[in-house]
This record gives sequence, C-alpha cells and structure tokens, in this order.
Amino acid sequence: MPEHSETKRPRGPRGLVVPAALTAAVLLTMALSLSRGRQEIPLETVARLVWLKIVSAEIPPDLRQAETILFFIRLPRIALSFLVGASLSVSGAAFQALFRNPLVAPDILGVSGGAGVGATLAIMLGCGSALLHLAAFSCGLGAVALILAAARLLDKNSSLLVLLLTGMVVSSLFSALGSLLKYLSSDELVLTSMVLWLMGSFAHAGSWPNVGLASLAAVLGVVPLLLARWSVDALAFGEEDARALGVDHRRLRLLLVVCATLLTASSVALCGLVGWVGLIVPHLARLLVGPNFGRLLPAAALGGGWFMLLADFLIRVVLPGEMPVGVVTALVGAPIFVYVLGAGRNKWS
Amino acid sequence: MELIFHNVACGYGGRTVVEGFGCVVGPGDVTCLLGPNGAGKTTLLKAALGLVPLTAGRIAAGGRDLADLGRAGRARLLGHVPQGLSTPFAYKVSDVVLTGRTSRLGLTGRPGAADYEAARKAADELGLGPLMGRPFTELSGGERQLVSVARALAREPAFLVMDEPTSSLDFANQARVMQAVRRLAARGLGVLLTTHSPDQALASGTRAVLMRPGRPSLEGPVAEVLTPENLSRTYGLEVGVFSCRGPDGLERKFCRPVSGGGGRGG
Repeated sequence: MPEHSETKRPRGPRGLVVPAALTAAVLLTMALSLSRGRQEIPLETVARLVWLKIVSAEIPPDLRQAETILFFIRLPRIALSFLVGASLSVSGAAFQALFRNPLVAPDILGVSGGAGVGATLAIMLGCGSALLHLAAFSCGLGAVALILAAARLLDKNSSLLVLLLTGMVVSSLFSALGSLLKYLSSDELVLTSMVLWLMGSFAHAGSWPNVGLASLAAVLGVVPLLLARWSVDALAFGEEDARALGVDHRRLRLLLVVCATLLTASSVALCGLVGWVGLIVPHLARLLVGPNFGRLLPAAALGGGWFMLLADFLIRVVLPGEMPVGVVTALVGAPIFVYVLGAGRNKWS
Repeated sequence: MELIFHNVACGYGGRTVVEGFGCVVGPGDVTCLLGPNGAGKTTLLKAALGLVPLTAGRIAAGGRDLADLGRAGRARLLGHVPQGLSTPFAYKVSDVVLTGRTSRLGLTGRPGAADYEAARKAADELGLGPLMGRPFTELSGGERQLVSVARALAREPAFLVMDEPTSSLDFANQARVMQAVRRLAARGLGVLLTTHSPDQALASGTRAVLMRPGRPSLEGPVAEVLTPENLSRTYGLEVGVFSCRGPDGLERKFCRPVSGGGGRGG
C-alpha cells in the first residue's frame, strides 16, 4: 500500500503565525512612529490618547496639543503609508501571478509610470482629486492594455519573455511621456511640485480624506483578489493549462488586471511613484508562507504595509529633512532584492 | 462512455493541420496517437480540450457534443496531462494536485472536504504520499509527471488526455509512468495519449492511430495498425516488428528500423 498522503486544509495555528507576527510588527512600528517625530510624545501618552479616543472621552486640556499632532498629523500619514505599502505589494503579487513571473512589478511593467503620467496631466490641467484618481487609473489601465495587446501582436502565445519585454518598452514609453509633460510645463512652481510629487511623498498626502480614498481602493482591489485566490493558483502553470483545467481565464485575467491596476493607480495618485515595494515584498512573503495566493495575499499586504511604515519612520525620524519616499524604498529595496534573488533562486529558476 | 472523434478537422488561424480524423476511445482503452512531427497529434488533443477550434466534424462523449458542455464540463470529463507541467513558483505537491479540482470550484469558489479527499485519493493512487509536502519545483522530471497525472485524476475524469507523457523522462521513469497509465486504464479510465515511440504503443497501447500527413489516418487495435508495412509507410523508413518471450513467459512486441539508414520502405 502506498503511504497515505496528507492533503489537509491549510488552516490551524501554523498558518496564522506569519500574519500574527506581521500584525504585531505593524502595530509596534505604528506605536513607535506615533510617539517619535519633531516633538516626542511618550508612548504612555500615545496609549492614553488612543484609549480616550476609543471610549470617546473628553481630552484633558494639557493633552490637546499632543492630540492634534497625533490624530491630525501623524496618524493619517502613518495610516496612509501603511495602506499604500499594502496596496503596492498586493498589486505586485497579483501582477506576478498574472504574468507567472516573479520579476514583474507595477513599476517595471509601466503601470506606475502610466498612472504617473495620468496624474501629472491632471495636475497640469488643475483637476481635482477625483479626476486625478480617474486619470491615474485609466492611464495605468491603458499601460497594461498596451502591454497585453503588443505582446499578443508579437507572439500569439504571449510568452513571458515577450510580455516582460513589451512591459519594459511601455514603461520607458510612459517615462518619456512623463518627461515630455514636465518639459511642456511652463510654470516653475508647478514643475517643482510635480517633480517632488513624482518622487513619492507622504508629507502632503497624509490627511483623513486621503486615508479614506486609499482604504476604499484597497478594499475594492483586494477583496476580489481574495475571492478568486484558488483560481489564481490554477493560473500558475500557464494560460493554456488553466483553460484545460476549466478556468474562465479571460474573466480571471480581467479581474487581476483591474484590481492590481486600481491598487497601484490609487497609490500613485495619492503619493507619487514609490518603487520596489511591489517587487520585493511579494518575494519575501513567498519565502515566508509559500506561493499559495490565499496565504500570500495577507502576508504581502501586511509586509508591504510594514515595509512602508519603516521607510516613512526613517524619513520622518531618522533622516534629516524630508527625503522622497521613492528614493528611500529604492536605496533600501535594491540590496534586499539582491538578497532575495539569492535566497529564492533554487525555487523558481 | 466513449470519446468519439468524428471526421474532425482543426488547425490554427485558418491553417488546417488535421483533416478527416476519426477515432474512438472507450473505457479501459489506451489509445496511442502516432505520427511524424507536424502530423497534428498535439493539435488534436488541444481540439479535444477546447483549446483549438474545430473547423469541421465533432467530438462527442456519452452522446453529447463536447462543445455543448462548456469549459468546466469539458474539464471535468477530460483529465489533461500537459507536456512538461511547470511553474516558476514553489507550490507544494499537495497544492499542485488540488489545482486539478479547479473546474469544480468556479472563479471565486474554494475547495471543500470533497475536493481535498479527491486530491488525496488521486495522490495515493500514484503513490505520491512521501512527496506531498515537497515543493513541486524541486522534484525530478519523473516525479513531476506522476504529480501531473495525479492532478488530472483529481478531477475524477472519464478520460485522460496525455501529451507525450514520457518525453524527456529517463528509461525507468518512462516505465513507471506507463505502468501507472496501464493501471488506470485497467480501472476503467479511457486514455488518449500522443507518443513518438511505436514501441510504447506496442507495449502499453490497446488501440493505435497512425496519423499520416496528407492521407487519412489509420485506426484500430495495436496489433492491426502497427504492422511493419503501416509503420514503414508512415515514417518513410523500413521498420520491422519483432516479438519475443520474456523470462515471465509473456510475449512482448517491439519495433526497429531495419534499413541501413534512410532507405524508404513500402
């Protein structure tokens, strides 16, 4: 008799260790980040104020100033950085599943660049927040559509190499369009703010309405991905194989593209271009919990959020001035990526 | 239930690769599709799986046209073993086998107890127990192929459709995979496979189809179809079919090219 195999549901305490540890790390970093800054607020005071807010009690007058700093300056910024990190990371995980390639990410594929061009255009034309979001989303979607169409034109089977190459072409195309827009912008002030914004920043974006927008986009983008997690796993062996497995691949692909693009575009519209998160965090998450999409998503979301919290903490507390967050993620991300390449090599080469 | 190809023509983008093809796969059959490169063996399998459109004829199972079954219905009927299943991600073997159940889940479904049970049974059937916790990407080619067969079985199909199941496997693994195929057929599954080796068809097949470019295909029991004359004509070189008795007393057949090189037979 063959030895009996174990095919159990991936439930139980073992599957929860990584998400629980990441959640703890996120909360700890948030608390630390709330207490530190230009003006230090002791952790006890942070805890007391949070408690008073939760039970909606009267805030004593001597804590009013700390309350303003915490709840109107630091907390929205911290919440936003978490949401943006989580969104970019989940978006990266979704694109990697769609392209069956661990080396793609929204910034490499030109989705971020496309969304950036849309947002830049909206800024130039003086559009409001809603239009800016719409422009970022539609240009990001346009970038993905362009990649898929060009790849299909070149190669009927849309092989990975062709997809990746067309992604790089589209990426540099949109980067050129972005430069063109900057060149065409005659107003020095608009140009400066555009350039700074494109480098990525939470400094001006950290407001409660923006946190609301980012949460909405995160829910709209992540929930369908979570629901379709088992079908996404079936995609891992190729599109033709997925079709033979009975997957409605057209609908699944559409779902992945729309959700992933929405997540990236909303991040770009709120905080500019922040690279590397969507590439390295899904990798690290995969090393921790394996490639199953249902387990990968929570780990990637929490990990991405945590990564961004740490980057923002560095910017606010450790580094002088207000460095663009895109610069920090790249400086930190590049060496991590080299490490991940080495650690994961035997798993997907 | 029988899988019936009736006067099938199919191809890619307006180019017809296969024409006037007919064959029947019944329960317990191991039907081997043979033919030179480019004869359309893989294209025909893809047509059965709904990956390549038919330009004429029909493919039916149990009296129903496969085209009417829909994507999921067809996937439940035909267990597909693709050529060289691979993925860049280190999925565990148990997860890979479980993906075989996808056709029963729908876009947003999740596997239930019955799905885990079917995957477990399929894995046990192929003796994959010790491999279940290992990453698929770290398995040998032979192990991967057995996992691929288990994955096809997990959907509890009536037929197995296998594209060159032993290509790129070493000698022992070829034997292991074909042994599993024979066992599954003996259990009542209908198997349709493509192969480049007439020896494999002689050893494991019950029926054979010789696909000959530009000429109608030949179909029937292995002993009737895989004769020296038919093989010589199909492959364009002289082939002899031999048989001898092994130490277990069973007669085995095999074939070899018998001309000194490129001589044309028949």
